[in-house]
Amino acid sequence: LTGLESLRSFRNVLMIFFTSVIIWLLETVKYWFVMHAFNFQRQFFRADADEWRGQSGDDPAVSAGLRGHV
Amino acid sequence: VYFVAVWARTWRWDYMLRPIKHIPVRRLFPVVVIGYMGNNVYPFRAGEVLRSFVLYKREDVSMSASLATVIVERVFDGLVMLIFVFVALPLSPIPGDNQSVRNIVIFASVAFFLALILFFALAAMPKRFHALAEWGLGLTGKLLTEKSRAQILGISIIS
Repeated sequence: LTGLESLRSFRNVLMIFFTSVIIWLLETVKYWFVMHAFNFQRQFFRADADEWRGQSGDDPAVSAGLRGHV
Repeated sequence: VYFVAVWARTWRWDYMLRPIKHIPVRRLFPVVVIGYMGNNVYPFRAGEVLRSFVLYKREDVSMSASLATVIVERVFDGLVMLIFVFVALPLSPIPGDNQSVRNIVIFASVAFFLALILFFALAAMPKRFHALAEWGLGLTGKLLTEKSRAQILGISIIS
C-alpha cells in the first residue's frame, strides 16, 4: 500500500505523533493570540469554573471571550 | 506562529512521504500552503485534494499515495485533539450538560482509535488487504465492469 509505509515503523509513528502534538500546540497559541484581539482574558492552560459562572451568568460564550464583556 | 505551524505540518508530511520520495521541506512548503489556501477557498476541505494534485504535477508522486498520507494526517490530528480534550476537561470544567460532551469524546475516541488500528493493519498486511479488496469487488458481480474494478483497485491499493 503506497502512502502508509511510514506507519510500519514504531519510531516513525512516534515522530508523526509528537509532531502532531507540536502542530496543535502552535495552533492553540495562534488562536489564543487572535482571541486577545476580542477581549479574551483567560489563562493558556485553564479556565476556572468560578470564572465561568462569576463573570457572565450562564453564558459560556461570554465567559470564554467569544462575546465581548460590557 | 501560523507559518511555524505550517512549516511543522510540512515537515510531518515530508516524513510521511519519505518512503515514497524524499522531497526537501523547502520544496514541499509551497505545496502545503497552496493546499491550505484551497481549504480556505473551496468547500469540503478540497485543498487536501488540491495539494495532492500539485504534488503530483511538481514531484510526480501519485495522488493515491499522497491522499493516503493526508488521511493518516487527519487521523493523527483527531487523536491529538482528543488528547487535548482529555487533558483540558479536568482543568476547565464546562457548566451545564457534561454528559453530552463526555459522550462525544467517548464516541470520537473509539472512532479515531479504530481508524488508526485499521491503518496500522493496512500498512502491516498490504497483500492480505489487497486480496480482501479483490474478494469484496468480486461480490459486486456484474454490477462493475473489469475496467472499473481495476480502476478501484488501482486507486485504493497499489501493489
